[in-house]
Amino acid sequence: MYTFELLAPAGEPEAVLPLIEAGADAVYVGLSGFSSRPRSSDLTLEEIEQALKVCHEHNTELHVAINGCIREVQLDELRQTLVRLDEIGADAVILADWGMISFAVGIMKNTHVHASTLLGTYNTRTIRLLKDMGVKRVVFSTNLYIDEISSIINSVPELEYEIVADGGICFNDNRICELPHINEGENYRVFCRNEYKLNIDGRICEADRICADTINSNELFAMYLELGIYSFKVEGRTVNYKYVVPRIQKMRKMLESVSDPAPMTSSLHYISRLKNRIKGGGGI
Amino acid sequence: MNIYAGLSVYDGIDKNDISSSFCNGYIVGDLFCSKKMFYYGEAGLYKTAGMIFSCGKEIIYQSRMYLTDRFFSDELSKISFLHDMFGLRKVLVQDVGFAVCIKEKYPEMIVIWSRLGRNRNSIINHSIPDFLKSIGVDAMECDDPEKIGRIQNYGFPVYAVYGSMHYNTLSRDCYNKYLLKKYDGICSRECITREMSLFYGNFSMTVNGNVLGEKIIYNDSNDFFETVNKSCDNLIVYAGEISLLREKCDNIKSKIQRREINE
Repeated sequence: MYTFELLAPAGEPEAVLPLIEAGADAVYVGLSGFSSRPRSSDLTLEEIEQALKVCHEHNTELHVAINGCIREVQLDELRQTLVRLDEIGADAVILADWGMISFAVGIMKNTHVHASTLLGTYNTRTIRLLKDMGVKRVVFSTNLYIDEISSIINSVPELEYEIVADGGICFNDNRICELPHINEGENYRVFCRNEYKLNIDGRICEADRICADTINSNELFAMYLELGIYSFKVEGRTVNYKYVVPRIQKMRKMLESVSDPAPMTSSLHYISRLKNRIKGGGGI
Repeated sequence: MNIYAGLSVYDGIDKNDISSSFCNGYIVGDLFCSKKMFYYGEAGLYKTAGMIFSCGKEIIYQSRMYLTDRFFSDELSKISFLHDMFGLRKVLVQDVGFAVCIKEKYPEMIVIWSRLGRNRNSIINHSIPDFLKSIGVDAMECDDPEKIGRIQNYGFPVYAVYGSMHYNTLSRDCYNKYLLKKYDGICSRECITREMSLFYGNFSMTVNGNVLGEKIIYNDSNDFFETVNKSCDNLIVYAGEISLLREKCDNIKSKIQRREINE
């Protein structure tokens, strides 16, 4: 059996328990004032302390995203906040720039440091550096190809690896995309989802979409598990949790249904050989 | 002050352009695809580097984005070749692992952190320059006078940028290929030979290879030039192609104070 973690987004304190009951193994929240999402979808330190109690009572982890613009004047406050998070037993902080990771690994003794997808790590050399710095988990960039993921996991198996399984999986580079995002009530509208028209030398026609649909494939998740991905993140801190709960339930069912590796499908067989090739087992 | 030029497309440039230019050197290497920058693709990179070297000018190599394990070794080989054959001394990077590798192999190489070596956050605090220094990065690229001052206050040299690339979004994959459904393995440089744009209502963006809505924006403010003259030893001028570069260089000749520097 594969072991995995289903990681759910909580944009408000009330969301934590329903997400755990829906099947989440871990919940992630943004830290108010330090996250890249709107403040309305972040939790204060006091709310995080309460959420942590709920999570730990239910054998669930709480990860805290600190991935916003950190100004020089905020660094002292951030240092104190990191110390406090470490003291209260936050399971992990998710950090999105090299300076912050370097800053945090020196402060946190018990809380794990995770490297966000926003860091943009693309190769084994960079991942090794993160490991040497003390990072425990890397959230893969969404534009890595399968063999590249395999290469990294096989070269640095000591780390945990996480993938964005539902949410911002994009044709575009969501790390440094400048397309507008607009909050419209229950929805979060992003301009990559517009139905564009294409102008080619003055001729107008329909354009293929430049956003990606949500991944919805049992076989693909089986492949990810076989490769060694541990954590499957569902995005949606800015969306009402009532819309997130059914996605968590569905993702849980899907992951459980494929977590037993037998029988081997043709795609799993390919992935197995890809893993073996990296370990020196021969060509494909 | 050293002045370097970087072109998006090197078509039409010849030895005369390079020799007669007031630039100390040129930046070669596309962020995404050699075929956009050079008519002959990767071969064009080496041809152009050779031409720059034979004119007695410096080369700065701009390493690619999305430097996955597929490309890592080849990219290091390029650095080696350009170093051994054409005296490469400076590299623009946006990948930490690659920066570390370059410094391990060539400790004397000057590694410059590119403007695109960031996540969504453009505001920096001292932890970023401190980290970059710790892995051997020697300088940062920056186009904003206020940020230039801040980076320098953190004790980090700046390569000022006149003509920085702005965009709506980027992709690892070529938007022209994707939107034209062109996967026959033959690239006709549609990114520069065809005028393509996506539009939705009043919102539109040009399709430029791996970039949507690419624009090179020039800061012609006094603030920028005062900052550059006061505190920068290196200036990079980016332009789409050679005729625009000539125009921009003419524009800044009277505004830039050249002074001798030791490097």
